[in-house]
Amino acid sequence: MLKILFPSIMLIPVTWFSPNKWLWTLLTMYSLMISFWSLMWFFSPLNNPMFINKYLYTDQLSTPLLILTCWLTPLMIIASQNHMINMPINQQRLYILTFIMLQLSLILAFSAMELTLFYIMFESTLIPTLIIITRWGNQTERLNAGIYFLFYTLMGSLPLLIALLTLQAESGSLMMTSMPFMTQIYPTQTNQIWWVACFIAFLVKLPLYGFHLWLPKAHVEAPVAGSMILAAILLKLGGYGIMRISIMMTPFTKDLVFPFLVISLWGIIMTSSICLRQADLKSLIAYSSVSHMALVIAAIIIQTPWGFTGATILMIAHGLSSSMLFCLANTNYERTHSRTMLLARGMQTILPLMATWWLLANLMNMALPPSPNLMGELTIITTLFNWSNITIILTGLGVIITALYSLYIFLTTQQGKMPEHLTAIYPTFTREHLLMNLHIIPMCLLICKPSLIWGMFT
Amino acid sequence: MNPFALAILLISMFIGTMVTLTSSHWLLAWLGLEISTLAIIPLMITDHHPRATEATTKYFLTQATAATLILFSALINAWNTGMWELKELSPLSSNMLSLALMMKMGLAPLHFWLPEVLQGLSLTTGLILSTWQKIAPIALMYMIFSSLNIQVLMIMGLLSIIVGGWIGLNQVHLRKVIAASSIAHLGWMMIILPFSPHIMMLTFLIYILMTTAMFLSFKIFNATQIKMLTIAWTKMPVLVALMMFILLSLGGLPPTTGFLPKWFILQELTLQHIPSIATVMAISSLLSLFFYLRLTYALTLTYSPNTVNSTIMWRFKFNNMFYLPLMVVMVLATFLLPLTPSLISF
Amino acid sequence: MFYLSFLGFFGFIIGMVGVASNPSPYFAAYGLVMGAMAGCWLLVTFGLTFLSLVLLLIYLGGMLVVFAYSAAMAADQYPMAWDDWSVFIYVMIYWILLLIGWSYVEELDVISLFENLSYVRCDWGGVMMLYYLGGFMLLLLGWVLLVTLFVVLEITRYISFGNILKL
Repeated sequence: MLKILFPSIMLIPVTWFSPNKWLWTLLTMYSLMISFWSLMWFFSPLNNPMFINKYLYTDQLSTPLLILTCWLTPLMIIASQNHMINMPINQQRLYILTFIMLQLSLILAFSAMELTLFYIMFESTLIPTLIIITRWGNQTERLNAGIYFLFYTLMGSLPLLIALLTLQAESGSLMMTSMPFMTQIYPTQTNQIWWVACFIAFLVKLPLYGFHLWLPKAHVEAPVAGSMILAAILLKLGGYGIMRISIMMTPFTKDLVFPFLVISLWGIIMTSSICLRQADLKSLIAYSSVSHMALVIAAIIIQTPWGFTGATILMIAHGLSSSMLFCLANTNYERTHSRTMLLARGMQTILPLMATWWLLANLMNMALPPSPNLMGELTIITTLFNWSNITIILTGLGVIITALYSLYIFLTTQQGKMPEHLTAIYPTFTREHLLMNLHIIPMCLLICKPSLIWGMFT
Repeated sequence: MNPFALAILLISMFIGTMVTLTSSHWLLAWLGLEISTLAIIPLMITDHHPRATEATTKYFLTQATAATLILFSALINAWNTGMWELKELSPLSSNMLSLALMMKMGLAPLHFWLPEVLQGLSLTTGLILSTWQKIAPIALMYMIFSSLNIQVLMIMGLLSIIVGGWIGLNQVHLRKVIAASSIAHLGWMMIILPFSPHIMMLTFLIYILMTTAMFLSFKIFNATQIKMLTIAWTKMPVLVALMMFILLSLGGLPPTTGFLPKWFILQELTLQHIPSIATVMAISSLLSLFFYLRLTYALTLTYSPNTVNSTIMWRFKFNNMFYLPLMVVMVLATFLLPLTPSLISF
Repeated sequence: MFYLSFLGFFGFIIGMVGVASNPSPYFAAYGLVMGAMAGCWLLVTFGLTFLSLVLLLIYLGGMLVVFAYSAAMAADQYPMAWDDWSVFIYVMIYWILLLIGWSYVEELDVISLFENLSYVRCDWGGVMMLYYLGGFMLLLLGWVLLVTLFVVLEITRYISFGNILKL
């Protein structure tokens, strides 16, 4: 663990002491090196927890998410170069520093051995994210978005803190490695509140349909790096948390699980239908994240090995694909200074290579075959079908609507007649193509050996 | 103020608190409280501003009332038990005494004087009032914790957390916001007091650290209203960035020091099988967090969208007297959480 | 004996009503003096002659400070004594309230009250012990007197300049 943590900490002096000219290059290089180094976490021949010490460990569930965290930092740095180009140099350094803090707290959150440490780090990600959203967002609505983000999450997670402390008082330990061996807490009348308190924090974070209102606001107002990290990793903290804590809470009972299950299945349809009538590109992508996360919630709540596997795969795959979509939306935004899709049409005629990336990203997002997204969704849909045949109506409808809005994004932004006011935009940069490649290549490689992201039940 | 007079007053303030801390006799404890109250009054009224006069009068009246109640309950206790020691109290006198001490500190139903008094003071005096002047009452509470009435403490503490969060919501004056935050923090301390006085002391120490850091920073910016914070970055950009962490620490967000006392208090309450009250406390502390967050918005997270025309003041020399304490306190008030294991072992 | 102590109680009440009826500050100080003297007289009727003498002296000294303070800080241009209508209404209200209260308290045996209160006497020995054993307490109290002097001086120091000085 320290092989990654110490270089990540040493990114801080690099941020402050590298020469102005080399700031972005150096940090991209350095953090990319860290992320390559982190790939060694994949090596675990016996499929058991690795790198165990008193505080931290990794296992099959956290490894993919950890590597995704390390991978996202250089991508965020690459993506936000244009956003920060007019800022004073010290503010650029501060901005990168925020990413590094976020990376550190995310690594600690995903590899925490104790649930209390996990909770603290889970909350620690709030401050850097808040800074990214409200300090470096563009519109005045970002202040409101920051408040929504912070207070939705805290309102959900403070009961979780109490629930964890209660659990500690009852069982004496919150070690994740010893949790499967503890006496399971059966959902009696009094324990039901405890049960809901454990879940609600993560359901707000994921977010479950109904608790999702903070997410589109945050995504729309955040700068590109904020949207990327939010969609790629911060949402996955919720899924990771539920998977970890649900070990304690089996067996689930019907009256506790059904409301969440129904809402999440219904949320797939609702949020993807909302996508169909969005005029705002970033908001559309945000809602598409909500609908994909609804699948993840449903799969985790079913509590089968297949469900967990599918959820883990979909989390990783969606992390990369939604992050890529936000990057693409940002390339449009930087050129047209508007998120409205109707004002940026026919981009294929002027930015043809970018249109290719758009096509690929949309295909990934709607889960076309050579993508890990397909694998995740297929596993999840199979799980749900096995649980109850009727769910195929909802999930199938969800898949169809996903295809519809992916087509809608592609047709609206890339096809058609180009409006007059767009003729003077500047061409694409190599940096942007590199960014898209760094999103696509991992996805293509992952499908060659998907067992890397299969999670705990490989 | 004349430095000799100032010295005498500061020394008496010190002596008063020390007399209370070292006393084992109620009369002496009361005497110490009175001395420190008396000694801060000229400091409060240093600039004979109508606001300052009003604040001083209000402070004097409430403190005198509370001190009389303390003396009275000590007398009743001596009458009932025949003892003047600071140990066991009869229920009647312990209730009266805890109410009087809470009035001295400004807990919820008896808090109305605090925002207005703090509003009338200069920032330095306000710092003394909200930190040093609370040591003696808190110490008395600590010494008699075993005979305190849990219900009274619970009700007043919860009320303070909620009311403290609530009155901070619509303030534009920073000192009133600090008063609200002080009320809320004292509420947390009062709830934990009957269960674990050590945690209460730790909470109090951390409260002092955070409040000192905040007051000293406001002192450097010379800011008394939220709108003055918006131009603070022209004076000292680094401090502006760090202030955000202090404010979030006061709000109790995890990676900062402020989470530490809240964590321990909630843990102790769940150990005592009252998680419901713990949940209510945790949720109502979000009210406080909201106004801290608003301060950070004004201070750090928004900035002027176009070029500033006013003079940039960051080359301006400040009073260096505050730098060293500010730096020390700032670090302690924000980054103490990793040291938690060594803090709980004391 | 009963009538003498009744006189003390009565004077005490008159003094308190005199203060509470909200006349001009220095008239109220007269009310306080009245109350203090009556209170000391009550102590005399309990047999604590020396203590009441000391208390009276201290009280009168304090009253002087209060009088000076009120005369200096809160001097009205048109002082209102108890003959003023607005003050007199208060006096009447308080008297009515007191009479109502009296009708409830009447049946209490005043003598038994005395017997309860006289337990206090035993404890004054404790106060003597306090001064006898705690010599440093005297030092502390002397310091407190000094501080009080400073406080009063500091509060009243700028008054002659008026509030305009610092505005």
